[in-house]
Amino acid sequence: MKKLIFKYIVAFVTLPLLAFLPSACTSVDGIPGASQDELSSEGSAVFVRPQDYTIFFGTRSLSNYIEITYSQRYVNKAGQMVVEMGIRNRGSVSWYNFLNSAPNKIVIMAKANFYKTSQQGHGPSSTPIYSTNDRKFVIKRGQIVAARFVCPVKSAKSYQVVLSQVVPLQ
Amino acid sequence: MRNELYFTATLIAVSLLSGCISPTVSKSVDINPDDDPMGSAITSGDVRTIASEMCPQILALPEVSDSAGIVRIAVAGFKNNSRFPMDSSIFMQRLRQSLNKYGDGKIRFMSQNRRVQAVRRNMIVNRQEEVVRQKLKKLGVEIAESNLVKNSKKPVKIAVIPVINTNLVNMNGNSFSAMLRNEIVEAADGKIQFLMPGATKGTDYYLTGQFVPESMKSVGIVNLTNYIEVIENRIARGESLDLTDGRVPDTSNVSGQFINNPMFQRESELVKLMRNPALRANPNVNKRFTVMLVKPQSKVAVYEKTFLLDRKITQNLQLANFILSGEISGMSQRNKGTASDYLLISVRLTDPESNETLWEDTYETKRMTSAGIVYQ
Repeated sequence: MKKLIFKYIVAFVTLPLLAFLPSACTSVDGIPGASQDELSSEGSAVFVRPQDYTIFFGTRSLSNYIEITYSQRYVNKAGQMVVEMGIRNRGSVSWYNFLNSAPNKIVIMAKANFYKTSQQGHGPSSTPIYSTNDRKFVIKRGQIVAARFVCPVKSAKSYQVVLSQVVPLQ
Repeated sequence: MRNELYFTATLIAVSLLSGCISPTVSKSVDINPDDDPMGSAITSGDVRTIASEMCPQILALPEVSDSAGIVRIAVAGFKNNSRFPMDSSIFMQRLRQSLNKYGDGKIRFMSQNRRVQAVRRNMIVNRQEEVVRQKLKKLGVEIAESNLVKNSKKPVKIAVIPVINTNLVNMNGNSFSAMLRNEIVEAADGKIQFLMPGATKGTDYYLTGQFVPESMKSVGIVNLTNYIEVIENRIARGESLDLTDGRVPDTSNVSGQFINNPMFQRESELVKLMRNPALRANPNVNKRFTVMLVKPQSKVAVYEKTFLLDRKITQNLQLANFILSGEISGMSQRNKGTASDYLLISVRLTDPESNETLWEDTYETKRMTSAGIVYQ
């Protein structure tokens, strides 16, 4: 019995420790780049993966509560790219929301990045020429908020709006 | 043995405990400027949102985007009408930074920073001293090459009467005269001879002048002919050329030897003028220098020239095309330790000529905070 316990300790504790040692001995470690396939599939509006994840009833993803009703872009008279997006709080629509009632309002952050070249087929793989700050939008249930982002740099050709939840400080 | 053991254990316990009472060090945590961990009514995220929203709007104005040249903006600052004590200039700083960064060189702000103005004033004053030197040099050449000197068969003799109102440009009267004299002598190459200070016998011309403050015309201007007569009178009496030596009081209401004596009254008025605090304080106005060559017998100025010697130091706000200003207004409600604050932050651009509000936009936010009555 003691021999068996000893073998398990060797197998599950010592061997993994020994396996990690060679990697810990190197001074630098390569960073794999983001998957180009994933990047190229990103659209002009994306949700950031939420902080909370429950095993039983799925993620409390932003897409559970909000939807983009319209999205348009144009260039104004001054040559600036303007992006207008309608964001609606549609309340709880998924079957697993029966345990929690939809909040009366939600607060999201939205940030727009503008790029010099078209991102279609590439995703956000170049440096943005201008980024707005992360703006807060308070959306009551059922309401559509018109989010408007303007790029003061005139050479903008494409954009991406990133929507995320407001994460409280730990 | 047991006592020694207890003693040792106590020593170890005490040394371990002393490690437990070391002071805690406060830690700082890096936070994204758009995050709001404290939950206050107005945050850095609002400052950034205002700059991010309003900068493109200002740049898109036809008066700015279609302007052929640089657009200059003077800042009137942000007025805080809310109940929150804050450095309201932070809104303007952030907006200015965005306009400078994304304006593509088209927008320039007039500097109204006090520290910058103090250094600027210092630099301009130093540069002005160099300008004075150059102008004196030019004046010396002009006098030396004038017909009065060229047409004279023998060297021209000049007596120097101290330049008046040197307190206006913070210069010592004697040193200014000496500088002017030196420039004339260098340029004249022997054709001009100066008499000793205080000597006037045998002189062909008097060289004198005065500084004239531009905006104080009724106070700062001296009748130079009167001044020359007063100086001649003092020389005849064997007195110094310095009118402010205290011999004559600076008022015409005097008794005794001064009363009913026109020369003393004239001198007294001159002394009063020279002791005028407004002139002695070196007012920030344009100052011109008038130089004269006067014939002693007829008191006629045979040569006279006036030029700008010291300029008024201003912030040059008259060059600005527009004025940028802002206001923070708030409405607060309280109920049992919970406060709700509605804040309206407005920014506007005004045309100084027509007084029209060219552009205006507002940013509003409403938040609830739970805090004490005293501190928010």
